[in-house]
Amino acid sequence: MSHRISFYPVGCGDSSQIVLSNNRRILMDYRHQKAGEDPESPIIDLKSRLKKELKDAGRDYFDVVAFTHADDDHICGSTDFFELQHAEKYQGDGRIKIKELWVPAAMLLEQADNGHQSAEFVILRQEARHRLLEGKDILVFSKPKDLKDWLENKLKEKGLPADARDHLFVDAGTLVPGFTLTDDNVEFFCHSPFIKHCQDGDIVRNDASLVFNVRFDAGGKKYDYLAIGDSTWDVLEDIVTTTKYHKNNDRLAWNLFNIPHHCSYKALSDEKGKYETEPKSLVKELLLMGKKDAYIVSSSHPIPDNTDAHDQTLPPHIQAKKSYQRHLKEVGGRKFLVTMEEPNENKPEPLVFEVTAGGVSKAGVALAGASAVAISRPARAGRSR
Amino acid sequence: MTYFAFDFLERAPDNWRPSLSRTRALLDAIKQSPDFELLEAHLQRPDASTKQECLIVEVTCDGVPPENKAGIQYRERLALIVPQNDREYVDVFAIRQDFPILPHMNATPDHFPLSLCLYFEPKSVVFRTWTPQKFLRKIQWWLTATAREELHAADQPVEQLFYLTRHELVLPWNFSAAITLPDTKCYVTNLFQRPDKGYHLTTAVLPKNKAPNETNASLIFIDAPPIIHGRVERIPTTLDSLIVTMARRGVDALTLLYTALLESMPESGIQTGGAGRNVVILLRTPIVREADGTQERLLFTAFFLNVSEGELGLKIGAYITHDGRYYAYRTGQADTAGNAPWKTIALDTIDVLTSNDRQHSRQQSDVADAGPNGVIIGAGSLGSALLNIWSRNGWGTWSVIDNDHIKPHNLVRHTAYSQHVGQQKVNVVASLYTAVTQGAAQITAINADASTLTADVVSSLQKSTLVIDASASLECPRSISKITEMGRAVSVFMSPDGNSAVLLAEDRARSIRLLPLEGQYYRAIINNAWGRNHLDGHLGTYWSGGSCRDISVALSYSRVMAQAACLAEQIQIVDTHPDAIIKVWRRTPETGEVAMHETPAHSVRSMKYGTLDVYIDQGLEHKLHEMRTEKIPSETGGILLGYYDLSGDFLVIVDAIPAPPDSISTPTSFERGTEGVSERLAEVRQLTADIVGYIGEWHSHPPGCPASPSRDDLIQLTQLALGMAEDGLPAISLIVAEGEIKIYQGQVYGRN
Repeated sequence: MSHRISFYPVGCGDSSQIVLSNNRRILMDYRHQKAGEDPESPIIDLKSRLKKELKDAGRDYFDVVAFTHADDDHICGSTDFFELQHAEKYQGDGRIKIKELWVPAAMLLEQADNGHQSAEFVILRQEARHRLLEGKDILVFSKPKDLKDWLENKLKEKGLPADARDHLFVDAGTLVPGFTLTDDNVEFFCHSPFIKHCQDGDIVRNDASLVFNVRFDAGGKKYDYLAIGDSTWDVLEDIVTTTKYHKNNDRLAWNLFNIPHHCSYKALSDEKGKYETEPKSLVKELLLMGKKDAYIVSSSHPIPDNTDAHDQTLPPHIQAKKSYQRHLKEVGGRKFLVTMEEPNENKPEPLVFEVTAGGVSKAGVALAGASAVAISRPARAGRSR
Repeated sequence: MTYFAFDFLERAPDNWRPSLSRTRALLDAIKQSPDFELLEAHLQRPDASTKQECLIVEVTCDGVPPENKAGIQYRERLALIVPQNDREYVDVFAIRQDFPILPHMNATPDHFPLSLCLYFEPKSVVFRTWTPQKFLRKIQWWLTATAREELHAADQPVEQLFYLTRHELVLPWNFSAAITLPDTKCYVTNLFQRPDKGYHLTTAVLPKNKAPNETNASLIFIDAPPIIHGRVERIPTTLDSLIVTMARRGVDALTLLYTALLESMPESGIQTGGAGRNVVILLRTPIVREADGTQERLLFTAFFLNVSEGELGLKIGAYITHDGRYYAYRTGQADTAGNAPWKTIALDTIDVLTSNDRQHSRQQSDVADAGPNGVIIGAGSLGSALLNIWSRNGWGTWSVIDNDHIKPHNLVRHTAYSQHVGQQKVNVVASLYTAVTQGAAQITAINADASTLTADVVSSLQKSTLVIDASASLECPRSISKITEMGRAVSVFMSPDGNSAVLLAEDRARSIRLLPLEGQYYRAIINNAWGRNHLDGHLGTYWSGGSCRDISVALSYSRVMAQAACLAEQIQIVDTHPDAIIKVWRRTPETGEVAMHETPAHSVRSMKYGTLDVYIDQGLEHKLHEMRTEKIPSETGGILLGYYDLSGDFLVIVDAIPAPPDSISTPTSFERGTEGVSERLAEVRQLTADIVGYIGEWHSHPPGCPASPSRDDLIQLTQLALGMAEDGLPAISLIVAEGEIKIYQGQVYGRN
């Protein structure tokens, strides 16, 4: 009766998987890198790893694959790995099926900036549109006007009413259909993308990633996992405001927190800070919603604490880490863990948490010493020329 | 959070360097570990007699579930105490004041922190692989596994009320039943100190008028009301702390003890100042589940009190003294004053073990069913070894039949001991059996010769569901085979060289009995490669009958035990299968390898010729039909093999040999040749220990011709009969025709 959440060491990128006690599998983001195929690279060979996990479980599909947004570090290699329904050339040959695809509405639109127009993004957009028009195997999060207009046109061409696909859309502030605490011991509460209530009317934040409060039931006890794709501090502040406005404050609490954007200071504030980032007040509020014994996970490269690190522009930022650590300590949390550091920087392994009636803890005891050496690839031996 | 202070140790200075090499190595390992943090170090005060060093550390364990039932926290503070002696463990104390009391802890006094019991193996084993790094991981393993409720050693109950002690008290297997009988009492019958300083106490429930004379401790049994399954308690060190602990669990142990003391005091009182016997309190507590109140198990605990029963009664207020004697003092209530003298009586916890009853023996041996109500014939080498195995694993309820006694040389290959020489084997195996079971099961010993089938023997056979012939004789299996309304019979024996074990088993319905199975076993020997040396070393040439099952060579008991172990297991398996079985296990002593050879057991036809029973099995009939078909259109034939038992008045036809090459075979006639016949016969006699030999002839009739004898056939039979008469035996002629086989007997009468 336990659920497992795995974070894969994919460098500064995201790939995580929830395996429920009833064996349903939800994969969030996919980043396979060629570099990971080199056994000497610390980056995981995600493709082989996931294929093996599925094979061991006797499956060729995920129940859900969620792309939190279309940045390359969240979708890289996905069009080689998954079976896509919209074109035959993406089918068969050991490709992994997606029973239900979860994407933010922005992924179906063309208005993304140039940075988002990668070849894979275009293919995934075609897939998402195909599934939506077919009317199955997809959930789209939020319904901006552009998408609505496009869809209604397409539906008219098919001779279908304008609301024919409404059941495939999920709004922020609601529970995602298909999973319930009663049947699956889990529910997904959608925080983002959301509609921001402004004086000038409602604004749909389409640039926002998927953000969920994942609530697990284990032996009658409830535990919360805050899963955030890439988001900036202002989006997080909006989420806090909106959630509080709707009196859903409990959805901000967390026993496990996958922090946004590979430990970028921008998820805390617009000011990096010299030694430590001071989070904006509403972000701070979110950080202090952590429960005792909670964990924070940073999907990123190792975060050293030295002079060079302090000046680094790209995430992860040591100043942000220090801020997270300080707030984690304040709520009596356990550890700030970095995917590329566990159990060591040379050969990280997936970081696995277990959700049992006793709460969220790290699964398994990490191998050490001889048993760890034996299963890892030793450095080359022999006489060099 | 408050912690135990280690103020009996001196705080180490900041620049301290440990003097013990183990402390230094441990300190390095702690510095390298991401999960351990050194808080401070202490060392022994200069005036202390032995040196020890102490590291106060904090450890975090990511595998600990935050809300675990055990009450272990993510971060725990520990004291690691390193003794000077390298052969002693580094003690690990959990120094958080409210650290929970859990299983797998070492006993420590009330005022001292709790100590984790990290190792289940002896120290000598642990130190062969001990490194400080692995030691630190072992601590994390203990905390994590305990928090995850995964830490259960196989030999320890999941929950104990009090944790471990060195003293042991052993209850008889039938304690709970015997103690309810009127006028019985539980006595300590033996008490001694083991070399490890722990005390051992043997107990027995005996009628009060058979109390053992000189017991060194008196036992007070208290039947406590049920308590709810819960946490482990700290070890009580005084009678007061025991009473308080029990009260916390809802048991008024003081009143129970008071009542028990009153009850045990005779009207006439007892003399004061007698032998300084100690008191053992034995407490039986049903543990119930909180949810529904169902009883999970009975928990026994015992305590050793360093006072006599009289002094205890006096201190509790149950006795008074008068004229140098103790008497019961029935005020109706124990002394509950705050400073009552009983409160400070020191006590030691005793671990209570119970002797196995049969069911527990089976559970621990992984034996699923209780086994048969069986008879074993023969309490010799093999029989005694089988009974030894079954006395321990609890399989079966046994009667044993044997009329022999133990001779000095039997000790080489028998379970008997030297003091048994001269005693009847049945009595010896019965007493050895009881020595294991302590009366939880007993053997019915029948001192008789099983083959003579006395009324005693027959009645015990008929009462059984399984009869095991381990007599190593031919006559026993042959004679019991004829008894009707008896349990299924199984015959087991060893080959003369001790290298093979043979098992012949009747089917459960007894449609194929031991007697014809013996014949099929010989056919298998004659026709299979494994049979070439199966009965090597038999004494058939010098002895008559049965010698193929006597051990004839010098061989060690190990070989008997190897075969007995195999057969004991196989008999248990046979008992669960309905079919008849012929199996041989051949062991190669040089390598220890064992090969199994199975021969199909065929159903049997029997015919009567006067008083003589003739048996032929379907396997042989099938073989005859095949040999006939092969030669059609010509006739064919050959010699018939078998053996007579003139006491049992039967003939078993074992095999038919194909036509010798010089035979003359036509569609209307067959004349058997002689080439190779004499050699083959000699070989068969050798292979079967002189048991199987020539009994007559067989030949086939062509299609359309019945199996009745022709004129030629009758002439031949007459000739054969005259020849066989020289051995005093009849002759057999077997005719195999289309779909039928007929057997004719020719016998010469009144030749003289």
